Amino acid sequence: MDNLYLTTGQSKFYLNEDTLTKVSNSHAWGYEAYKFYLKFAKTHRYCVPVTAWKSNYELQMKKLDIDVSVDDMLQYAGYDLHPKVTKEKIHRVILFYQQIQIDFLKFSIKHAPQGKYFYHTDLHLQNLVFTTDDDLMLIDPNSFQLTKHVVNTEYVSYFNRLMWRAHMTMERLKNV
Amino acid sequence: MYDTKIITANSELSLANKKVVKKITQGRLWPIHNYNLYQRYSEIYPYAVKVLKWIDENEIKMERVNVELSFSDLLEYERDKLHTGVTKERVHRAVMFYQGLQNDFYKFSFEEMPKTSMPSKYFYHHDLNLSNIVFDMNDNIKLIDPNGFWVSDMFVNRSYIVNFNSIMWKAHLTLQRLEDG
Repeated sequence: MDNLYLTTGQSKFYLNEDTLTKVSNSHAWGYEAYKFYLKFAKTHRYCVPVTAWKSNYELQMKKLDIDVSVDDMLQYAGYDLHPKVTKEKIHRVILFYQQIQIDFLKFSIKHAPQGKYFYHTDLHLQNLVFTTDDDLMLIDPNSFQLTKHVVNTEYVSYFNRLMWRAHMTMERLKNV
Repeated sequence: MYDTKIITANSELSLANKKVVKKITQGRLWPIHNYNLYQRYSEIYPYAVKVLKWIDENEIKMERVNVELSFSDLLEYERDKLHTGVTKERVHRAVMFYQGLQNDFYKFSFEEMPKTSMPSKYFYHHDLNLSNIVFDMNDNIKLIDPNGFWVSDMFVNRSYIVNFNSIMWKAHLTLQRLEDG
């Protein structure tokens, strides 16, 4: 029996042992995108494993044991920094964030239909998480879509945000 | 024997068949520790133009790159006619190269700087304008202006970020023009 685990603005998540079922109420994820996702995730282990595609609005995936999201980790303006934040982790996040965009483009050139690109279209910092095993993972798999634009506008805008927040957090770490 | 001299705002370049002597006439000098780190960087990342000799803080000798077009030329989307060297494949390569650069800078900084007396500093190119990245005649991408590399306390490479937005916009608009024929 699945239990309601989490509700967000656009989705509900149900938990059954280590499997999460995600039901979206607005965001369709077609079978073609799912197939591309499987291919991408096979060689890019930072993608959350999707175990079943049920419909355009429902998928199942492995539940991750999330330690902290990058968004939480880079909350530099609070009274205290997040206890999990380290310089090493920030370095890893920056490398990771830039590498994923390179991976998307390389994959698209090789596998996507002519004139199309396959990438994650919602790269805000809550969708990057550290697991309790200290792996850095990219979640929200149904944000991977085929598009016709080489520029991933979400990447470009969040990249700037990430760099600013990384910088501010690093400055505060220097003073700890 | 040098056949051509180019004078820019900050330097004088004397060009011979296979080498170039660059004299810095204005702005930041290039001390030997930057040169030593650069040598290591260009061993690991051969796209960085080779510096053959460090003469002093004002002067270096480097390989001559026979440039077909710079990224700036490649992405001149507003020209009446796009540069003849523009292809979709090259635009893709340019974007990937540029995005990979910053990762290479960080990887180098994390791995190599701890071996020096400046363990928590960063080493990267501080003038990543799109004229400093070029396709040579053999279709290789090269990063030029080696004395743009220096050691910094700052984690964030402002030049990278500023030009990152520029390259993404220009790549998009150039690809659109290519599609429109």
